[in-house]
Amino acid sequence: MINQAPGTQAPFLVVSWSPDVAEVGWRVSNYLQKNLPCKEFAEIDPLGFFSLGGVEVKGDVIRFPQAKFYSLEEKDLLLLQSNQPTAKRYKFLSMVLDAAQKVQAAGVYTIGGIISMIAHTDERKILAIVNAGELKETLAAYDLDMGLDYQGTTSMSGFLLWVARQRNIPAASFWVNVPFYLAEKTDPKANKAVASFLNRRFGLGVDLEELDREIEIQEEQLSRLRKANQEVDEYIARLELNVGLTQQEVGKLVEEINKAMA
Amino acid sequence: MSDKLNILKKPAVRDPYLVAAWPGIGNIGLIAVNYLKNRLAAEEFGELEPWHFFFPKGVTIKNGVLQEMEFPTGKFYYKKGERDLIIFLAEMQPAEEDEIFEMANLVLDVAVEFGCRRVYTAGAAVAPIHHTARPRVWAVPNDQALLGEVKRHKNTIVMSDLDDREGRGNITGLNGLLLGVARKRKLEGICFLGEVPMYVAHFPGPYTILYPKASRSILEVFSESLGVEIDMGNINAFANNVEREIEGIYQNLPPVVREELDKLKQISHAREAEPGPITDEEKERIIKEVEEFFRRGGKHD
Repeated sequence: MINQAPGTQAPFLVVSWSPDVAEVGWRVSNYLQKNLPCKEFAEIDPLGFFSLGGVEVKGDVIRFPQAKFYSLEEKDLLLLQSNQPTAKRYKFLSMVLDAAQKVQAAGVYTIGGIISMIAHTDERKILAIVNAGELKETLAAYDLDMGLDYQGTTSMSGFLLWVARQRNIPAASFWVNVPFYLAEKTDPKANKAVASFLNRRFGLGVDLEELDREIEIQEEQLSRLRKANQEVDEYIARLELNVGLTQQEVGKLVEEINKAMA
Repeated sequence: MSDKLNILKKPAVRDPYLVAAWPGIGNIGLIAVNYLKNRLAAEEFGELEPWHFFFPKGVTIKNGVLQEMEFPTGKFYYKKGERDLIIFLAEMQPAEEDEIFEMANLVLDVAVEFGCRRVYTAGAAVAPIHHTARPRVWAVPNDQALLGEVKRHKNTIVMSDLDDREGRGNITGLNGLLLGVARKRKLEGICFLGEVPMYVAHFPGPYTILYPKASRSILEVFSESLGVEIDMGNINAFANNVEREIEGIYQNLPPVVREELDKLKQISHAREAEPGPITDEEKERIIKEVEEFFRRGGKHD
């Protein structure tokens, strides 16, 4: 699986999945790979973990499940960009952690989005969940929400944190809030929030100007839509005032945004 | 034994039978075996490590720190008696074929480790019967030599007793596979399938109804075959409640559908195959009409 061991020392592994809310993790990973000298060093064979009865065609192009590891040696950072396995998830996550342990990783992070009842004009906050209490200290210097109480369904990242804890590997997941009406689109503001956090956490020095431009373009687009569509404007204005929407209004707003940003 | 098993203690059982169940149509087998486990006050002695087979069903996070991860369980129980029993109850069946096969082997590993030579599974058989009828139990052994024995149990039929089947059929999922693997490993195996009226099996959610009458029929056969006394009080009450609920829905079905379904009352409980009162085409039409009835919100025109 590992083609060439990276020359890193006690690196952190940052995992991103697809599908994900607004594909935040995947897009941030792409951004880092594009702007930093990342090198692919390993991959997990999809056989057994993904449905291989055919291939998906998306955006006119054939897609194939991937789970690729990249290294950024000078920053002791590793990236795993992976489709979410649809079968044998425990085995898959074990293979991810086998790879992490083989390169003596100091810890594992996952990044992704979480659907929220916020407006796109609101600030993006990052929620952090850790698999051991002491990890919170190492993250205290960052502007993270680390006080979540929750009981309910979980995700691939949640499962990874649990499997990592079984092996005494420190792990944390970072969830940036994404306005529900951008969940199926892209949310450059959320991407920037996560990229900024990683920039600070690992001293990456990545220029985020390109993300700023994407934010400007999207805000202009949504601003034009608000001017042209009173209903959309009213719903977003209510979200900005922290006033909830009915289920029907939520559906309508998603529909209008999807239509305008097709 | 495999590291995917967590055996908490070694029960001192002698020549036990294994009885296993998991979710399926109407949870008929699971309800029967769970009831058996509870009535016999069987004691837990081990479990499958579920994360190898299942995605977690829930998580608890407190103050930003992951606490617990909850998985569907697969637990082993035992009960000493005139006939010692090992009971296996799973909350889910794995999704992938190789995982189902692996799980079947792990369950049998435990059974064999404690001296078991016979395995029972239980499930549902969707059948053209009326809900007022006493469900029969289709008994399917994994060896010709067991046919005589299963035929002797009251209220059971074998595949060759059924119209047009000529002794053939399929048992999907673990109910069948466990017994197939048992046969491969030279263990005796018998599957008991309680009959569920075909129209009840097609009640869509949120009208989906459990059918404890079928579970009760299985329990009656278990009582005989395992030689255990089972207090049927609670399952009788449960079955009666559900029957009243089904009768309420039945009386609201369009008269034309009800008339068709009433023909199913003609099916007797005789062992021998009888000419079916309704044809396959009629069955299909009835199921479509019942589904249409529920699509209209459980009201007829």
